[in-house]
Amino acid sequence: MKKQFCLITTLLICLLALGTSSSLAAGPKTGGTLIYATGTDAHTLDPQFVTDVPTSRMVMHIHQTLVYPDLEGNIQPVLAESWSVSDDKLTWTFKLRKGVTFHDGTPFNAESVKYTFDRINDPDIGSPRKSAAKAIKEVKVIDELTVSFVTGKPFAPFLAQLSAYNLSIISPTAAKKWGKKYSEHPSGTGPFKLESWSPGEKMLMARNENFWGQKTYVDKLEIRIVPEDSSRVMMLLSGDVDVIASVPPIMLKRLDKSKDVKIIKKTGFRTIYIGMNNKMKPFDNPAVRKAVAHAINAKAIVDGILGGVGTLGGGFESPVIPGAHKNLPPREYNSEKAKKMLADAGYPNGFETTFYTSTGRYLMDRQVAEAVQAQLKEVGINAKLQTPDWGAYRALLDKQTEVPIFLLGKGSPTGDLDLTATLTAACNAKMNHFNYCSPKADELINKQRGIVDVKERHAVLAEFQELFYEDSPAVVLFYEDQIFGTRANVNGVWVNPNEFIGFFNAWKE
Amino acid sequence: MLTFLLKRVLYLVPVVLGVSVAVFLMIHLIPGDPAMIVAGMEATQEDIESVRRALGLNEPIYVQYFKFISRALVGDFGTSFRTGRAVSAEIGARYFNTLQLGLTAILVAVLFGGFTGILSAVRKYSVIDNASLLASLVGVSMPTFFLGLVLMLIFSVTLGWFPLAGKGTWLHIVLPAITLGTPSAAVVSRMTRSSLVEILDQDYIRTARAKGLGEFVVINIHAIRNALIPVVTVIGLQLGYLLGGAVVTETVFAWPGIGRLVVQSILARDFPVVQASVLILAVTFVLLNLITDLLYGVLDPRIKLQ
Repeated sequence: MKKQFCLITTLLICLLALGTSSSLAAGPKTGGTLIYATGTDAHTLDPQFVTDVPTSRMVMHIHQTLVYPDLEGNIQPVLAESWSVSDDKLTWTFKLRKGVTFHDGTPFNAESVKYTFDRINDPDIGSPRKSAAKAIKEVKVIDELTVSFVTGKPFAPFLAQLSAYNLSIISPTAAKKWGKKYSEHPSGTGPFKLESWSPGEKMLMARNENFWGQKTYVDKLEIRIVPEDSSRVMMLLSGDVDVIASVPPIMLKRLDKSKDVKIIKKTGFRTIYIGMNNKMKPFDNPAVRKAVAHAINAKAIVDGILGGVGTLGGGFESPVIPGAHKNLPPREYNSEKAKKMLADAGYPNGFETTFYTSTGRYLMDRQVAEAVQAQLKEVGINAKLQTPDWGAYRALLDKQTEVPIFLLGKGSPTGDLDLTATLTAACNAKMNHFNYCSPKADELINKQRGIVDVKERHAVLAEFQELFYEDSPAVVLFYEDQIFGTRANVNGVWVNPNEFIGFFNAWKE
Repeated sequence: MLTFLLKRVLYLVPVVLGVSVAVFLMIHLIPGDPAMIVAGMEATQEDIESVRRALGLNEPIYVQYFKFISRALVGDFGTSFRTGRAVSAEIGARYFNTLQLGLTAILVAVLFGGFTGILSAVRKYSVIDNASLLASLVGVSMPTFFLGLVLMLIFSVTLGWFPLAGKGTWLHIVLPAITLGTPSAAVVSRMTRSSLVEILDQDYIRTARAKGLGEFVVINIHAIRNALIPVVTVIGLQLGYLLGGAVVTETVFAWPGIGRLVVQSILARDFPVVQASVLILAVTFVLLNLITDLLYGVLDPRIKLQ
């Protein structure tokens, strides 16, 4: 029986404090309201209904999971203090933190953990993310502060899966009282609690005075919804707000010139890629897919369109995700080579195809797609650009027979390779819009899921990533950098590569 | 008069039914699966199926329509696919925000447009007339988001007179109302000018002048009332347009209005919110037209409403 004890109970918070070292001499100041402007409002504050990043950012100020990754992606204790896994790798037992209460006063205990997992599976609640808890066969209450999870098969990504925002622990009292309306009356264990919310306009949170860890420095957190990028930038420059989300690259220069603002730039988990349908001509030929890779100049795109915002690479998974293969270089940009490869594959004069892209979903996605289109044209590939809206685009992709080549992004909500490998690379998987199907890849994906030892598991995952790279159903353009802007007097803002931004330990000078 | 009103209100029934069927069909027939959008990107097939059942999308389309319209008739528009909140709660506050913005914008349009229009008509072909023509051309052709950002930069960032964006005190509405009202002000200005110029050529105006009335009285008492009829028509139409077309202004100024909500809901295929919003906007438009018609009678007693 392998036991993992974590002596530093608030490691997460220590890490945060270290991040603000320069201003630490004077010590963080308490008080004030921090105003954060972002483009989209939360759809819900019920963790079991969250399906997108902006919503998860708000939900996770109010709620907490049993465990959560630190900035390096290593899982750290939060509501759980320690854990162990049984010898047959089927039972995970968690010792829970003592003396924690939900915002409504209900004590946090093993029963509330069990209730949370029962609720996400309740068909009457109708959570769109039941799959988050799919691996769990049974939740057993051992005593007041001990809980066991039984999985049907050994499930290595278990800890990472528990850190998913959908599996935040909620107060059974509030959830039973409000049912589906829990979203309007959320009650978690987080450092902030909801004070008021006018959807589409603003959300106000206040310090949770009964928080079990380091209490927040700011009294209040105000989240304002400002959809227009330029408006947000102006509000930051004028000091109307303290922090803004998604700074457009074109505005970076302007912000850099100002002494009043700071830029936070961090490589994230999201890969922006060109995918090709492996069952549609001519992309069914691996040589053609590789030729496309050689035809694309990703560096020029990142420098020219994104103002240098974006990290280059060749592996399908962002290098900041634990277990991501770090030695898969981008394929060399060489249009002569690409032309020759196309000629050898039977397309001496190139070919015609239809290229689909999202618009406004990812940073400058349409402009990036137009650049790719121009680069493909240089090697004789005449791609007609199609820009359906997000709903129509996803419906087309889902048919698996309509979209030969496309631009898309892939995030990693749990920071574990299993989820995305299973969703994007397994035969007939939901996000496998490449129509990629390799028995060998499937075998490796299934194999890694059962290996609880991290090193051994990452070796299998590395083998899978090499195979995927070699088969090249996708050309990686770049890994999206997350850019936030803050006023110069704001400290302690925590940006995790999993796209989360936290204000738990933020303070204003 | 009463029968006229009753008849016009009864017209609402076929309009609402027609709009509801058209919107329902349109939004259901465009490609895009709401269940897939609600479930999000990293969802499994089971997740999507469970959402589809929860949203009632597994039923045939005519059953869905019947359910929607029978509930809507008693004022229940269902719940939003995206947020799970009641549609009435989702739309309520935003509709009034948009109404507030639209009415303020039309006030801006009437004040600016009316003033410059009258001035240009009285001083036909003068420098003022030409300047107002130029201003109208600029006003009508300048993209709203550009005007909004420029106003923001000058009056909020540089001068600090108005808040940048959002909703709060009355100061918050000034810039968005000017932004939204400017193109309409241009239209109102041109309409007032041409209509007034025509009236000023009429015999009764010559009579008024001949009997020694001052120019101020001639314009403001005798001429303006008759000149207003086409202007009122234009204002009515503009207001309808402002309510539905405030999306850009609402976005730039982070004004929580219904326009932005509709666009977001269309993109998210949030059927209940789209259907209810469009219905409410259609009813508002019909009512505005009714008010316009009633105003004709007030302005010109010769117009009998039957």
